[in-house]
Amino acid sequence: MNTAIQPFVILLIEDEKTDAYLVKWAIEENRIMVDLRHAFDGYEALAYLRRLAPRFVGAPRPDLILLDLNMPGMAGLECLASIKQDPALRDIPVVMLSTSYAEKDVAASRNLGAADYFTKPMDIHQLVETFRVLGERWITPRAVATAHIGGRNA
Amino acid sequence: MHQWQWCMECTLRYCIAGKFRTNMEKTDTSARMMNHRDSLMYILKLLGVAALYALLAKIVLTFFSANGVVSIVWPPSGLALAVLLIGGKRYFPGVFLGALLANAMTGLTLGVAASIAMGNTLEALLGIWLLTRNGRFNSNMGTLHDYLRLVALGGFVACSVAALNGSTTLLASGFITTEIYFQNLLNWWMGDALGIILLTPLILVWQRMPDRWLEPTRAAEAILLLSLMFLSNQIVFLGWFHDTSGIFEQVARGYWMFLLVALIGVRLGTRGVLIALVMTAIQALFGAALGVGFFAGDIAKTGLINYWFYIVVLSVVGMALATYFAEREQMERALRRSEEGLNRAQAVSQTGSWFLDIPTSRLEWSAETYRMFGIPQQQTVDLATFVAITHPDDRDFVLNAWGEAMAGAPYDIEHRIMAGGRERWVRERARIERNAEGRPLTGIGTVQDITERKQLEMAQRESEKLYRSLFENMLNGFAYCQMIFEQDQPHDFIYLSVNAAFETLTGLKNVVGKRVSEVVPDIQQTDAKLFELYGRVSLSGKPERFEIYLEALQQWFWISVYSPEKGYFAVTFDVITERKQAEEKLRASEQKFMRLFMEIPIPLGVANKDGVIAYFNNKFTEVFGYTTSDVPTLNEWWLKAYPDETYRRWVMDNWNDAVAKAAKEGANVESAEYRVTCKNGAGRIVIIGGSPVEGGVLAIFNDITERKAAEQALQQSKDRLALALKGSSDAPWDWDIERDQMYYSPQWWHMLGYAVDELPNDAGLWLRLEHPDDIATTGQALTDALQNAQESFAVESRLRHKDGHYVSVLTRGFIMRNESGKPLRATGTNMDLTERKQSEEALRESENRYRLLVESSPFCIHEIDLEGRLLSMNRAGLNMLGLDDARKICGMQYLSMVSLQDAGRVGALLRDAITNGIPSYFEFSAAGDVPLYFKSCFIPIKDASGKVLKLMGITEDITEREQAEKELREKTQLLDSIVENIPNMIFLKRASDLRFALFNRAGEALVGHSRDELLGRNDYDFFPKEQADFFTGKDRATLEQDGIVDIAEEPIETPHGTRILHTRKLALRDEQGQPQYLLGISEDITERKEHEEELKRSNADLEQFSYAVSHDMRQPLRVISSYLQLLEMGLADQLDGEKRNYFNFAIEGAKRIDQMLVELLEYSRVGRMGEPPAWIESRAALDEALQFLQPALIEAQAKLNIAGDWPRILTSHDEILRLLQNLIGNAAKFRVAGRTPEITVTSEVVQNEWRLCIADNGVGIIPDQIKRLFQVFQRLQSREAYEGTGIGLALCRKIAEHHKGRIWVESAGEGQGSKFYVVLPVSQMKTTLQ
Repeated sequence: MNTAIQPFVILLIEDEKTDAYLVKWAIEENRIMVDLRHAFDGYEALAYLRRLAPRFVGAPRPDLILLDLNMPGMAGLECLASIKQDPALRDIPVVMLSTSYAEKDVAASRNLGAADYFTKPMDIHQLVETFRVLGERWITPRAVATAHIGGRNA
Repeated sequence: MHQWQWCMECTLRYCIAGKFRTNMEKTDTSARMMNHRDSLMYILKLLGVAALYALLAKIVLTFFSANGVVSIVWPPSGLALAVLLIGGKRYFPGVFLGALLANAMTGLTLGVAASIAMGNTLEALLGIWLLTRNGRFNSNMGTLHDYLRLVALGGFVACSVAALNGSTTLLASGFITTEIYFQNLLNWWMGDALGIILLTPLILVWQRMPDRWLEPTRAAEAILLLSLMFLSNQIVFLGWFHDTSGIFEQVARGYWMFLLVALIGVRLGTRGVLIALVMTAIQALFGAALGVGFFAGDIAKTGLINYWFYIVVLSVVGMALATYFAEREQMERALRRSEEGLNRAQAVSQTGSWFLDIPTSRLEWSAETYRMFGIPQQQTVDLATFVAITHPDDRDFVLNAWGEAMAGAPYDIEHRIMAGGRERWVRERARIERNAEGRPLTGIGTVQDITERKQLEMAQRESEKLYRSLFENMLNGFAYCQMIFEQDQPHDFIYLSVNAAFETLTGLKNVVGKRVSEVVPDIQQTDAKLFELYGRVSLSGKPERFEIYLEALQQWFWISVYSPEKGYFAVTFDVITERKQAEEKLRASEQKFMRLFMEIPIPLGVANKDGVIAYFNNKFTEVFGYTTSDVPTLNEWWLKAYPDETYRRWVMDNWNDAVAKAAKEGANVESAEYRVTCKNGAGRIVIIGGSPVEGGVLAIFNDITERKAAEQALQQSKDRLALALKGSSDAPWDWDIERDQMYYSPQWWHMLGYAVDELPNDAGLWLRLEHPDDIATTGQALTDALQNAQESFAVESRLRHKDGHYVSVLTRGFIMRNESGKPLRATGTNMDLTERKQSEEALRESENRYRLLVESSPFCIHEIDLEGRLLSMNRAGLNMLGLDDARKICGMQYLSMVSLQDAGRVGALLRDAITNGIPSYFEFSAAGDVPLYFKSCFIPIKDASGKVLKLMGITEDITEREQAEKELREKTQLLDSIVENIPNMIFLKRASDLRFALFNRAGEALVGHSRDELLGRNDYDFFPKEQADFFTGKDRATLEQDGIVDIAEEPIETPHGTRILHTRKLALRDEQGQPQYLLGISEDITERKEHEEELKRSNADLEQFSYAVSHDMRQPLRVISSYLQLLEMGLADQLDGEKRNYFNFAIEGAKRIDQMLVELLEYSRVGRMGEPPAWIESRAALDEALQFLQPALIEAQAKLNIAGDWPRILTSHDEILRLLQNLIGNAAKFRVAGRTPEITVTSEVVQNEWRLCIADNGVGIIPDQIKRLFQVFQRLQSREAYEGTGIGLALCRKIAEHHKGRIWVESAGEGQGSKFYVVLPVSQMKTTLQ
């Protein structure tokens, strides 16, 4: 199977298109190669993860989930809880991305099993920096590892 | 014949005279009172009986006699017996007469008839004798026994007499033959017997009309049954309907009558039966006579013997039945009556009864039991009914008691029942009957309604408890004791009961049951008086009150003792040692006044209304020599002071009139001059006045003896002058004015120590010897006298003695003139005044002594003039006022020392003393802030004419006494007032029944009821049941445990709606630990609760809002700034510098808003986020803050000094960190360009406060800007120079205030640096932050 290297898949769950675009931009700015998938709220994310809609059949299982806290419909924490309670999904690391810097949100996310928590900064330079750190912590090693495995397989 | 007449006459007379006595008839007395009218009645009755007898005999003989003499039924014998039974034996002449008539009518000879009649009479008499012999016979035919007696004795036995006599008489007289003698005898006997059997009972029974036969149903029944009888008799005995139907002929037999007689006997009783029997006898006899019916052939076959037996048997059967039923009815009636009687008795005594058949459990109640248990009488009852009635709380008790009773215990219990919904108390007693084996068979019991007794008992118990608690709780000591007498002398007593105060007051513990001699061993010796008093009261029963000092207890007691029963006494007492001491002080103070009275240098005396002389003061005794023991009453006074009887009478009249007048007018006793004989016999002239004082008269003595003496001396001097003129006496001189020649007498020379004419004796000598100071005076006097045509002159001067000293000399002279008035000659005397001068000196000394006395007196003694100005005051007075010089107060108004509220009263009293000249006494409080109290006494000082000159007074400081009293008053009022005024509801409930015993004002206001309504009632009277249940539940729990029960929240219904209370409850216990009262303190926390709720809600809202802001507002800001940045980056090569700046401004603006939002959120969260306080090292917090600030400090190149002690503090870590960061950060930030920032952070702990100071050398603050500094978004510096949101110091202030601390800044001005101070309390930290 000399297929291409399996790309690193990120599922971004974010209701604001503007924010979603900024995330995408910041990742690209850090030159991290990922397959970024986008769900607009918790329901859609769970539908994606559980492949509950025809359009998600065959969608790749994400290696990382970026989850916004404040969303209409199913809110971030609820979505996080659902993911972490699902045995099939719970091993996917979930990193929280939120405007909030409130202690209670951080603590609640940790308690529900979030892997990391980042506050969305006002400044886009800081945003790039944030994603650099996030990438180093959660994407790059995996992406490299995946590439390595893929390379050996190839 | 004659003999018989005689006999009749005798008998009649005998009877009429009333000598005839029967054992059934009237007594001697009544017989003697029998008068002629009675006699007439008697004779008429006898004749009536005789006629009736004869008539009946005639009828029977006519219709039924076989031979015209003897009949098978002889009713007259029945009539005779009945008459004698009813009327008594005395009617026998009527019987005899009737029988005689009857027999005579049959055609017998008179002798035969009389003989037969005698037999008939004897028969009746024998019958009655036999029947009434033993008194067992009752003529009412009430019982079968009576009837059988009548049949046997009155009928069968007695009749044999008449039969034997009659038949034998007939035989003897030849009417019958020997052959038929026996037959005749038998017939006679049978006839008489049947007559008695039928007719006697009929008459006896019908002599009294039946009571119920007139009732319609009864009458109808009687008529129906008797008619039926009659008809049946006709059919059976007289052959009715025999022709129409053959059946009757076959079946119409005599036995039918038994059926009917039985029926009638049962239904109509003896009366009906007897009518039926007589009817049957008559009808059957008719039938037999006519030869028809049942007895058709009886005459022929048996000679009616069959008939006779039939009737006898029928009669006995009928009567037996009738009497049996009558007897039973009577018994039943008696039973019913006795039952009714029992019921009535039970109703009256409120005692019911019951009967229980134990094996069958059948229960019967008496009517009263039914009534008492409130159950309708028709209802059947069983044990379940009884248990249901029994009060639920008492059921187990009653059932247990019954179980024990079954086992052999006595059953006598009191318990409650619920009768008709009301609670009643009953007492039950029962006896259980057992069989030989001891198995219980029946229970018979009584139930007594004792509700009233119980209620009374409970009321008594309640009242007893109330009284006991009253005694127990009163502040006075109380003891109930039994007196022990030995040889009739009160010897000792036993404490039967004492209250708590007893122990508190006496200090004696556990005395109950002990003798006082055990408790206080020596008391019989030390305080014998007490036993005497108690013994007297316990015997006489007369209450006494007294005050006594008990040596054994070393205390003064006020005791009120009474005796509820002989030999016992109850003591209520109080320890009054303190009061006694106060009294002692008071007495001492009175003694001070007494001393003043005694010391006043005017003779004074006080006599009371009874003429007893209470006091003489010292001066009095000094002047007159008398003491009160010399003259105990006015009587002695009069006698001794005025020995001359005539004069005495005048004085007494005069004085008594004056006193009476003074008393009437309320004025002073008019002064008058009297001559008083002193104790030593000397006479003194005295003006005596006085004034009425409380309970007597104050007499004021003005000794004018000296004045009088002086007057007299003047008189004498005049005499002496006359003598002088005659060339004798004093030191005469003579001056010839014309010639200016002077003559000095030898006495004159001698007076001055010279020999006669030792000096040149011109007129000028005198002047030369005059004291230089007196020359002018003397010269003037002389000149005046000469020029003013005076006749005489007098002048005092001093002349020089030869020894050199001066002699005081009174010069008196007479001037002789010629007709034109020109003085020719002067002549006079010089009197040596040395001695008089010396006595004046002595007087002055005495006066000085007196003044010294007043001066050194420990009381404030002072004089005031008629305008109320102070004239003088002694040293003690000045000391009292804190002054050193009397001049400072002289002329001052006395009233100015009196407080405003007392000034009016005191002024009036002083004016009164001045105008009326009477002493006045008063107490007042002093002017000024310090509370001082004084007691004063003012005595008017009068001149000889009685005019008041001034008032002399003594004032005593009674502040201590007054304050002691006041403190006591306050002490007693204090608690009450505290409780009353505490804003929380305070109440006491009695532990026994949880009724309110105390309610303070706040409590009244809260529950909306006055204490009049509340006291004595309980929660259920005011609150809904659930609440009252809750309250009382808590109360009970509180009473059962130690310590306070805290009810954090409890709702209570009040007229102002539902309130929430925070209540604490505590049981107040007596010394035995028994709860007496329940104390409750309630705080109305309704408003606080509402506030808390509101605050919680508002905080939650704010929290929600803040959270939303932090997300929802910041997100678009981020979008703006982020996309502007992207746009800027995207357009980078197309933008010039200016346009790039525009982008930057927009981006910065958005970022600043975001920063402000973040800080505002932080500001709003101070104290709200609930970070728990913790003990932290303040120094560690500082280091942490510096860690954050490091980049800024490095950038500013700041020099940082840290000094002082850094304590451990209990605080919110994040907030204190933020405080330090902001303040130190500011110090670095607001630096002056070009000046190296120097920042000094100092910490110290001063008096439980942590003081933090952050000083810098930065831009400083313009003083009038300081107040804006700590407000939100207030920036003092431009953003261009110093960036920031303007929220940092506001945050600091909020943090400081949240820690109950404060923050402020000091600065000398712009560019002068600033010092920020933060002070946080250390000691309060724990409590405030919790």
